[in-house]
Amino acid sequence: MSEQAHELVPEMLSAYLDDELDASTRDAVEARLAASPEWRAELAEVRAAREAVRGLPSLQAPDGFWDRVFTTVGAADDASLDDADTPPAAPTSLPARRSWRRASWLAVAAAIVIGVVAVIAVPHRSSVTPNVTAVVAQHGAQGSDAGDPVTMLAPVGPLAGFRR
Amino acid sequence: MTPGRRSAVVALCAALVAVAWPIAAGSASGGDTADAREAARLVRRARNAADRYDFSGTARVSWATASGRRHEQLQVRDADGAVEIVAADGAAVIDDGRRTYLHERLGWTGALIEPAPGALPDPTRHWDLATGAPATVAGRPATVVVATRADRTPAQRLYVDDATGLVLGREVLGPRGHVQRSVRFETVAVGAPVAAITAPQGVHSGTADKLTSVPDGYHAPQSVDGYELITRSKHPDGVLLFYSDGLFTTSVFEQKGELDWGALPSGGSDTRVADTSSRQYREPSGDVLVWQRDGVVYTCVSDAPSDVVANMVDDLAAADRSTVQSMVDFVLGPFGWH
Repeated sequence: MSEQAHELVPEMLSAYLDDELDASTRDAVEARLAASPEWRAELAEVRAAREAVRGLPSLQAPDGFWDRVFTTVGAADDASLDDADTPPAAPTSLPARRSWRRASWLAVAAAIVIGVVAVIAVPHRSSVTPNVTAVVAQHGAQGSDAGDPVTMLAPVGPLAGFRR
Repeated sequence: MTPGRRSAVVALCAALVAVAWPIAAGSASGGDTADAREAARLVRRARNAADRYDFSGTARVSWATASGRRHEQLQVRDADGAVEIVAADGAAVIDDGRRTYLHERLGWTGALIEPAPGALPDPTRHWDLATGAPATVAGRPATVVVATRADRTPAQRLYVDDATGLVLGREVLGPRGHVQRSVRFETVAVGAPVAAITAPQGVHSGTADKLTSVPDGYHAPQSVDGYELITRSKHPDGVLLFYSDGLFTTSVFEQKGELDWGALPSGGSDTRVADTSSRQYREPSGDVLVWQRDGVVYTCVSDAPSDVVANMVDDLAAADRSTVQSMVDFVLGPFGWH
């Protein structure tokens, strides 16, 4: 089977490493790898990523976790049926996909850098809790000096809302 | 009507308008009539009357809240210029002229000593003053001084004792004529011996330092919506500004930092001040507004009617907006980053 009979996409590289491709597809992928330095570089990235993931410590999922995941995925699949009439997107060329992926990583990295700089460089303001009761009392005291003391101070005595 | 008679009628109407216009204009502005001058004199006299007479009695404080009108009866006495006011539950306030002390559940606390205020503005600059019908308060003849807004709605009624000039009652009115807050003597004895009022011992009182200008980052406009800046003072945790329009007073306490909304007292309502979120409280002593802008937390207290306070605070909050700050608000506003 010729390479043109297979629609080769980079996602196949992971299956290729896992030896999950049928013989004809595997031959087509190997032919593409032999001809394309970009595919070889992509294969190296996928292999490195898989090894990095395998190097992580394994964790035991809590009871019921996978049941919840499957339930959620099933619900998402049901919802996607509503979009079944939508035609599939045209395949994207490998260089374009790699550029988009690199741009995404750059955007994430830039966001992290900006966040770190903002946390470090922007001055932090101290938290303020106004003593409202004191300001009201102060106003009464100041107003009694400037005018009639009884009408300014008498309402300060009850201070119903704050003191009770 | 002959042309000659028509001309005479026109001339007569013109003459009547010429005579009536200045009278109407003077009345509308509260202007310079003898009655307005007398009302202003009574207001000025009332400011210092308590320093000249000893008295004691009971007063009733009333104020409107979201859940209805509330009242409180207080014991009041004045001796040698010192005033003591005690509530039924023991809450009390003593002002000895320089210091003010508050007594509450945890005992006495002392307010800071304030610099003496300077001269207050002429109340007729911002308000139309007039004397009303004679009244009797706590059995004493009084003259009612009415301050009206530009739209002719009353903003305050002051009951001034004819014999002494003491303020026997004060009503602050909203724009629709309802009384928002009032203080009124129910009984009062003037000139009878009053036991000396002594300040509580061992209560710490700090001193607020008078400022000639506020430090960088604080805002202290000299004039806001008819209110003049009377004093500005430095406190341990901020700057206090005291404004007056000759009739009402407003205090503005400024603190640098981020307002902790969750730590504010309960019972307030959310509102807007110059397009900025604000918390409002309606208290017996006046309206309280708390908001934050440009890294400064403002706590404003005023004994003026609520609509007057709102206008004044709007002007105050908007007064210090630079073009850049306004642009920042415009850009970040849709994201709620105020």
